[in-house]
Amino acid sequence: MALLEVDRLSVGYRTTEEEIRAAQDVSLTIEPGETLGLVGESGCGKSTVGRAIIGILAKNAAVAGGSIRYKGRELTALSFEAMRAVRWKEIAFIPQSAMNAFNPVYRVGRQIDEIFTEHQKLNAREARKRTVELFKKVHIPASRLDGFPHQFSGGMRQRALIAMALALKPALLIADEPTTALDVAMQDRIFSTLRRLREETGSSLLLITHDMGLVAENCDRVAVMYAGRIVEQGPTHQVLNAPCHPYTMGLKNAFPSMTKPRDETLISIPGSPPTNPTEMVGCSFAPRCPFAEPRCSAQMPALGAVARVHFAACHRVDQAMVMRRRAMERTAWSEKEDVLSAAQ
Amino acid sequence: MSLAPLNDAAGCIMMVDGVSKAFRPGSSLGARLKLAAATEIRAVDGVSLRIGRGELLGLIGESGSGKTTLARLLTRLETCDSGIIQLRGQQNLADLKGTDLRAFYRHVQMIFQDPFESLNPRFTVRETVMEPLRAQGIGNRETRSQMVKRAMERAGLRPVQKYLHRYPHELSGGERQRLSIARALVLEPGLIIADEPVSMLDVSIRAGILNLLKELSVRDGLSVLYISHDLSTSRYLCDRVAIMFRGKIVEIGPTEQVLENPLHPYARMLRSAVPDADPNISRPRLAESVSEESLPQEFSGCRYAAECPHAMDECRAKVPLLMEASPEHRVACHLLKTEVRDELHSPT
Amino acid sequence: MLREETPSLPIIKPLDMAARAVGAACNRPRVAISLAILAAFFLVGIFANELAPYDAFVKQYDANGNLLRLLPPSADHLLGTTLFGRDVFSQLILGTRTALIVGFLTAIATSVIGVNIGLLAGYFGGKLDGALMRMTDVVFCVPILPFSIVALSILNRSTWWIITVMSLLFWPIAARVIRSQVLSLKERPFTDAARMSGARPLRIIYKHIAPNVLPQAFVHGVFAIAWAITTEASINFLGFGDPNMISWGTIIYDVFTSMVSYTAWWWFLPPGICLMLVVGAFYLVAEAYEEVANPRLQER
Repeated sequence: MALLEVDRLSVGYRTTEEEIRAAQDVSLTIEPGETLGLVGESGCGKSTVGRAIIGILAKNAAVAGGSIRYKGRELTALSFEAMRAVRWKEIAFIPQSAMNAFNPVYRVGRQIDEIFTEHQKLNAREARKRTVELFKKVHIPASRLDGFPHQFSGGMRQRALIAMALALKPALLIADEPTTALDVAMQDRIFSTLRRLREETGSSLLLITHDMGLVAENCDRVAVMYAGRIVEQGPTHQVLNAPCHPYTMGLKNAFPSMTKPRDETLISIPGSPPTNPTEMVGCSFAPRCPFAEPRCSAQMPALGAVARVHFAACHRVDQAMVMRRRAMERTAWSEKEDVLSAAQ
Repeated sequence: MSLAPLNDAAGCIMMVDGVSKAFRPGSSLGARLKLAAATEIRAVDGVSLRIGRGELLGLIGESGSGKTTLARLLTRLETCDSGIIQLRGQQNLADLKGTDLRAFYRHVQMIFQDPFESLNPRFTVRETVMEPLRAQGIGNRETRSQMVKRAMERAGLRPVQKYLHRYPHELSGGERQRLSIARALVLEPGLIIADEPVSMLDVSIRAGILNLLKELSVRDGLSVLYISHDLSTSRYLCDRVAIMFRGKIVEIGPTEQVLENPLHPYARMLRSAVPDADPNISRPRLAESVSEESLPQEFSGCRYAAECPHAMDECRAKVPLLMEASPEHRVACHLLKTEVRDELHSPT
Repeated sequence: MLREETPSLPIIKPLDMAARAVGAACNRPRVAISLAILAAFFLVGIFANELAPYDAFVKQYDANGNLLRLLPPSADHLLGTTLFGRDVFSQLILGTRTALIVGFLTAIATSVIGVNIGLLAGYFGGKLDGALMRMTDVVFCVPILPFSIVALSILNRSTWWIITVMSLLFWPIAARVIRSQVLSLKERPFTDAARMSGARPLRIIYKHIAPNVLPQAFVHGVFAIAWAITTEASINFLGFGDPNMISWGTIIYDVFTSMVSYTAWWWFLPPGICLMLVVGAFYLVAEAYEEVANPRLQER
């Protein structure tokens, strides 16, 4: 049985004017010990999915449909108390900014101690012992335990956070852009730390990010999100080497490489994501897609299999190879750009 | 530390020589950084470089490297404590006042990191791009409109009519950044200093802005100083690249050399830390760091000595100067002089 | 560093401001009611001369020549008459006009002073800021009523002097708030960009920064109206006001000095209620607008 099964999850936000679907019909699974990358740009709903799983959605957001099953248990049906018991112990969350997880007025050591005293009913001394061990694991000197969060540097805070997240050896870690605010060297070190700790605890990781590089290096499988939906999903190697959805192809073009020849073309996807995708009929990417046909705007494509475990939601998925080749040419996208600006 | 006298003054649009800026607790920035009394942080320390006409020069640095401070020094938003900054061999920037300073801004402009914060929320697109012309008293109503239109077209905000009367909050991130670029272009400067222009944009939009900068440089001969922490975009865009660490330039040279086979240990570390989006490539990871205490500024030697795996005694005692490793490729590292050099020369 | 794009709050331009304000008001009954109250008082104030059934200064006599003093409310005199036989309702209406004129003029003057001081102190910093802020602190500490009373006794007890004195006392709050807003606006990149356009400091202050502080300035302007009306009423109530003007404060003063407060409820209650309603309404509207105008909310 999969560790986490998300089935057709939809999450809506209610604003004063309307309800916006941040995530629509999202389905994914995570096996024990594996890493799934959830990749997409800002506003695609990836953060929302992560937060929905651990139950920390904003006040004006709510699960609007679908199910989230963790070890067979339906998380959306849990009471507040029951969900609290699940957090930290079974599923832990690493937010983008550590300041969102640490209380600024309490010392860091005490906040981590609390996890042990609350969830494992240890006494203060034992808890402190575990906290010191934890800090050692992430290479933070024990002398820093009595510091306040703002006294830690960004990288150290994030490491403290990872320590805290893995304190109770949860089976699933959800990391939401954990290193976006950090320098690349610190980022690399943190991922090394993460990998090492995960090897010890056997935790799975749901890595939410916009960085394809991180996904390529750290994730076994990847799901690409656009406008609230998953548009492609599969083993990382397959999805990145042979993408079958035009958005994934476009995204690939956007990351400059450190190794390919410098005159490679870097192409941007024209236009911008839809503001209210729920109102759209048909594929949400169609307006920006160089391969769109009339049927694309008429009907939303379903997530279909392109290989045994590789799925893409595109009507023209059987022409993936042709599309891939064409997607590497700048003209494919610039023509679309001209069409878009002419239409306005 | 100064460079050899400029013989190719004709090819250089800006010359920076020995520029330093320190922040003290008394100053506002010092207060923000919570400096202890009597310490000072040398944000920029003896930086020298030359920006050629039509050149795309990259300045790579992580947080704390001083790159943003340097950008503000080159645009006179801050004044340097020492050193010379010259535009086209004219007066030192620090000496410019009033009309001369305003004239300086006709030649050098800046693009900022945050697309939204760098625009006045109360100005329409038209007013934003028009403002430099008005402030400088250039042209009349008709010529101004034309210049605005031209700047917007160059920045890719087409069709111009569609954008003229919009407000920043009605634009997407990419459009806002193009608006900043249009504003920078309207005075037809020779040099644009771009401080992390794409860091806050969505990945799929970055390429458009980068390609725009490239086009402006290649087609129109605009010089661009591209400041970033991101090696891959710098590699894509820039012909030459400088790497900054704690206020000093530690390596500078053609992109192929510096980014593909860096010589300075810090540069090598940085290069090896970049994740590659190609899943077929595997790279060795950096060792996890032991501690990250912010290092004291009083050491007299190389700034990187405390973290450098190859540090020698000389490194801790003496500040290394930029030396030529090969034509055009300079590195500030004592190791270059030793046998270790050959080790370093092997590809990353 | 990326951030999730949250839908940005529309930036308020004057007409858009008003439209949104009304729209928002409909969602919040307190604000809607306050606006309605204010609208009613506005109309009364503007059409005071037409609406007042009698001349508020003229004593009323009946058919037999008897002074109609202290009459309770009736069909002829909706709110009865005063001790001197004057129609209370007419006085109330005239008082409305006085209150609004005093309120608005003081608010405008106080805003002009306070906002400009805030802008200059905030932008230039240094010695100018130091000097202006010391001045602000001093004025801030001056107790308003005692000082006004003394000043009016020296100068001249007219409504125009009341407005002047209040304007000179109310501006520190606006100055402080605007100054702190300017301090943060000064750090934003668009101000750097303005400097790099070659704009001179005054241009940056008035063309680039000032438009962004207007919403806060407006909020304080509205608060100032409320303060002015209250203070003017207090000055008049204490007997130091303008004897030739009718305002709600003078009405209450008359009641008080005639010592019939306990019986002539129709005479002293209405002005008090009007004061409460109008001042309260202005406060509610200002507070509600402040939520919209608050710069923190404007930043996405």
